[in-house]
Amino acid sequence: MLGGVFVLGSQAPLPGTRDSGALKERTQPPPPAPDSLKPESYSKVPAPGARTLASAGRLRAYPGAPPAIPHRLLDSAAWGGRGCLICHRDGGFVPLFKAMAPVTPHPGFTSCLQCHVAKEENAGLFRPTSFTPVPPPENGPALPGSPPPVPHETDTRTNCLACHSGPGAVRELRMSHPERHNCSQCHVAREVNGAVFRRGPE
Amino acid sequence: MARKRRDVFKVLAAGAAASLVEQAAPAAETRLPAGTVWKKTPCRFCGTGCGLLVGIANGKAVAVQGDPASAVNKGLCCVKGYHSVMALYGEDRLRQALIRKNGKLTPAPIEEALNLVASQLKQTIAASGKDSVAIYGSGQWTIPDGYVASKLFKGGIGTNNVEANARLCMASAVTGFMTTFGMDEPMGCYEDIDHADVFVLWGNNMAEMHPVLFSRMLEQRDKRPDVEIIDLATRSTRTSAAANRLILFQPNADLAIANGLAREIIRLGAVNRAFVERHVSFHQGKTEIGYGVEDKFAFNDQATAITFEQYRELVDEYTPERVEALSGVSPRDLRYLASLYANPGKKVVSFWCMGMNQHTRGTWMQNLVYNLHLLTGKISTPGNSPFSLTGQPSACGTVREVGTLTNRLPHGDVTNEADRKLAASIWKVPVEKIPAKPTFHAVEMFRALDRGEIRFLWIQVTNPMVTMPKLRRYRDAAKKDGRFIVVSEVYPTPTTDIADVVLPSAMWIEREGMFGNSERRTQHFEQMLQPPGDAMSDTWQLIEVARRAGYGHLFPWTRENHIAAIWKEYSEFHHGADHSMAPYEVLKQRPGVQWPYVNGRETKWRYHARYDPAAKGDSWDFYGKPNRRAWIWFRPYEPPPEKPDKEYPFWLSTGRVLEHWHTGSMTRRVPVLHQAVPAAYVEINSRDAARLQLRTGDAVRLRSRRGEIVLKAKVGGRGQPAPGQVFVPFFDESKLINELTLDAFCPISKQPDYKKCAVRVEPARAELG
Repeated sequence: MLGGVFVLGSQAPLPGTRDSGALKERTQPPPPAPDSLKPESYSKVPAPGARTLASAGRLRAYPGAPPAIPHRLLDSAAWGGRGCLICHRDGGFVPLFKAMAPVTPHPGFTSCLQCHVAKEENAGLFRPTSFTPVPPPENGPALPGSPPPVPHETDTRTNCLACHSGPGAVRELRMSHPERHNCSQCHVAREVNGAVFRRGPE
Repeated sequence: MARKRRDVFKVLAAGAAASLVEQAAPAAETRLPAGTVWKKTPCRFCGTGCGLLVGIANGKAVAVQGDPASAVNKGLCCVKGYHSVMALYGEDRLRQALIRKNGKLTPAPIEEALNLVASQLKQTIAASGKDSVAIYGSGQWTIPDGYVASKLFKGGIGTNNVEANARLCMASAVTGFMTTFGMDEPMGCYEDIDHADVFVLWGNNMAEMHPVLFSRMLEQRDKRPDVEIIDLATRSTRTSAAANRLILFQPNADLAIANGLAREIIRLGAVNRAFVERHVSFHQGKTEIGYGVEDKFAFNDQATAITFEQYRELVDEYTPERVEALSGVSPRDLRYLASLYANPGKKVVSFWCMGMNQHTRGTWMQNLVYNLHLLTGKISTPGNSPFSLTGQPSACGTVREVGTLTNRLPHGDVTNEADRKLAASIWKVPVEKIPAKPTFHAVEMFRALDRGEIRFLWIQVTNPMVTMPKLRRYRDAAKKDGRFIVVSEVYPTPTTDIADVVLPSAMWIEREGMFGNSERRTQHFEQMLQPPGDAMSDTWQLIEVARRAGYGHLFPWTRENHIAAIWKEYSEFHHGADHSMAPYEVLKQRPGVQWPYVNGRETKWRYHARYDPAAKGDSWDFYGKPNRRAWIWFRPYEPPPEKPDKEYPFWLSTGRVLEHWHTGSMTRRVPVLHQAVPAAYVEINSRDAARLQLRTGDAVRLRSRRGEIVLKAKVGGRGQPAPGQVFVPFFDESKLINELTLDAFCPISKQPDYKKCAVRVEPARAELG
């Protein structure tokens, strides 16, 4: 994977983080990046506003699975507080990828690579699999026009607006009324085994 | 699928009320089979023991979420757990038995295979004696698997030839507990994370190996700004990146560091005298104890009582300067670390796993870290916890509690007459049936296979043809004439390649079972799925063979009731306030129950009367030892059996990566995990790489005195070894790093050291495509 290419802005610790010997240990001059690692090769990152249910869904093994990372890791040893979250905490345009960064719905979890992994290109399969994901459940509103319930678990998705508003959000998931921001007033999550499926739509 | 969804959306957007807006799109999906249910289970993989909810639809596992009701992970998993169910569905799952005919593994009816295994078992015993047959299981055995294996071999056949891969994984943890406390398994629990102020990670890359516990630690640091994480390591990792401080040390020098810390604690006047005088005794063992590299190596330690004053004098030679010379750790860092242990206002958790366990002085290292907690009295209270983490989902539950090791019985030891009598009475066998002498520990078992003393070996739920150190000797041994190898597996592996019979196994939630995690938590899972083809649980395979071999009377259970019956019988071993297990019905209801489970209450902290029903008095009571004290051992620094020299100038350490479970036989069949780390590589320090003119992706030949392999270099990846060291993960069956490793082990625990041997590193540009 990537050696030594440095995360944008990672020299400046995030608010609330402290200096660490580990960081010092890692800041020796990085070797030059080979061509394959240059930003132009991050072809899988969608253009601004281009994230769709289809493109985002391809990153999940099944509905509700943590999505894989669609770009190479800039520093595969980085800890989220100093790596991923620089872009994915607040979102915004990332010149390196020419893309709007999606915002994490759970910024409290900082060990990002615990659940989200980057795939190596052309890795193929070790052996074929017969696992077939099923589509997400029926989740219609109880009555025509009534607010639909939340179709996924909410333990790791505490900030609704992270995914349902803003330029980095999946196009189909952007909602019309983010300014109301008390989402659970109208949209409720169902309990496990009360609902058929608690996780995200793709 | 996604395209269809967009189409649905278009239809909906055109026809539906405007207030539905875009997020209603997935609402129109109606294809999820009705009746998807979520069932609880512990995760299949590591020893953390996360609670999962598995979504089952139409007889298939389709999704996973973290179980919010589990006290272990509170709703969060890691990438292996989230994708764990996909490991059930590799297309090459073993569905039929295989029998080697004319040198080739050939599909066969399951009855024929079971008959053959039973007849070979009987014939081998008749021809070569009961100690010529053996079973080698795993910390991934469920509790019933291990129990039936132990009962069949120790109680039925009458041999102590029962071992498990956990010998390679946590035997030093067991001997560490036994020598210091007289009883196995941690006094604390994961809840210590919520109370501790300082976490010292002793050679433990938790960000990758215990990621969920690591996240719990990070969460605490976010909530409580004074919390500190110290990564004491030989290699810089993701854990180091998140830690407050990384202290790098030279391999094997942790022995010196721990003694140096004890010296500093004493020098600072930080010894908790009231605690030490009432609850601790001081001891010394043998020194220059060897490394076990020769066959039939034997060692028995001998304890000598010493005084605190003698102990102080012995550790006094570990001055910061001497520690620095051995370890490379500066006196400043050493004193800083000592000040954290010494500060009476700070609660300290020490975490460790393979770094300290896979160590030719592994038992000593455990003793030395317990010493720090015992000198300061930081033990058995919330947030004060020396915590040995386990690697496998039931290394504790099965291998340690059921006792599937040559020297162990369920909650007992074969050398102890009372334990043998108890086992004989519960098993209803004559006590003479259970031999009082241990036979072969794991490494010696494979040596005995090589020498021809073992002729029949049944391997379940483990892949020794990837994991044994000094692999070639033991692979050649298994292939020798006159050896009959049975392998119970779910996928083809290098171990099924050397089998004479392969039995297809039901995996995880395709059968009912229990695991026991690192914090004394027993976790039940029901059968949720049908196993493929002729596959059956390892428990039932053992029972089927036992019945065919004449031991059926020991297993008078039906396929429907056997797990509940086994649990009931097995629980009889764990009577008393110090070890009682929860009843079957309680296990079925909850995501996990911690033992000792007494009068309906779980025990979070042992050895303290406030929390532990077995502790007497009003405070600590280390009742595992006859003197009711915890033992501080003086253990010196001793050099490793092999270290870098001119010919082999690099240290080699091996280990795991987040995405793969052990030898990858399950996780490599999960596309997202395989694609994240498709092949093993060798991590090289950037300075060494520059000197050798190596860049990421270049082919490198690694050579040791035992073998060589070629793999790709990784420079500045997720881990960075210190200069002069390399690291290779062991999951890749086509890059067998254990061809190079040394089969030296801790003389007390007999656990091999996979973290230290000497290798040469050479560019091999032409040899990898």
